[in-house]
Amino acid sequence: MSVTPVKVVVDLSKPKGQRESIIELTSAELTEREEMRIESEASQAALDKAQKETAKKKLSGRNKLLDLGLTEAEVTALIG
Amino acid sequence: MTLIETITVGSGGASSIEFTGIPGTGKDLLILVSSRNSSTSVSLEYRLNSDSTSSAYVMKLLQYKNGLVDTDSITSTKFSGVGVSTNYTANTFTSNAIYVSNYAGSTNKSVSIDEVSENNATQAYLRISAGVWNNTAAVTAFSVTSPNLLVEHSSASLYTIS
Repeated sequence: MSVTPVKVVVDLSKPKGQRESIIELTSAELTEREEMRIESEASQAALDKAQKETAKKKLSGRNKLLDLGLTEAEVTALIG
Repeated sequence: MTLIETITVGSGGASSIEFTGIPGTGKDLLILVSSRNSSTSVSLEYRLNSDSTSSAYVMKLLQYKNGLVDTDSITSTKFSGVGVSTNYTANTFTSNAIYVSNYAGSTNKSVSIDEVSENNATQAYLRISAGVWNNTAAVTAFSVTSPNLLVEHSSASLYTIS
């Protein structure tokens, strides 16, 4: 049995101690959260891909500099 | 600076924390969030007055993410924030500060956000953002939302600045 996610709503117009309510999400809110999750995962996947490509280019550039005769220390000094 | 309320998420987690009925007694508003997501997402969302209007939120950000520094400009239905995912070191949480200037005034609201995610690895975020909420209404509500759940012990504190 799945449990419907909740949100914590804090009504600051009420006295302390009576402000907090735990409310189940509506179907519209559940849909919105799912869209948010999909968007977030897509963004993370794009970031991971971009970082892998950057790392690949960095390694390729390092190897080309080494092929030109620079030492490891010199390449590290240049590009880290 | 006056602390209005602090809320800590209980066992089972919660999708969001929403402050409503924010008193208009201050000049500026500061919300401090410490959170961890229950999913692999590294995102959070912030909304004012539950406004989900297209293009209502415009922000420019400078960030370090996963070993790289970059900038971004975002127009959206919410302000984007930094979260801690389940892939991050256990028991680590974010530190997010959202500052809303002249929140009770009748002009569009300037917002600055300063946030970091904690992770004992390269994959982590440090981000500063400047934004505007394109709405002249007084801010009476604020929400922070996770794509999945904010885990137990996540918290949000709301302060007014006189």
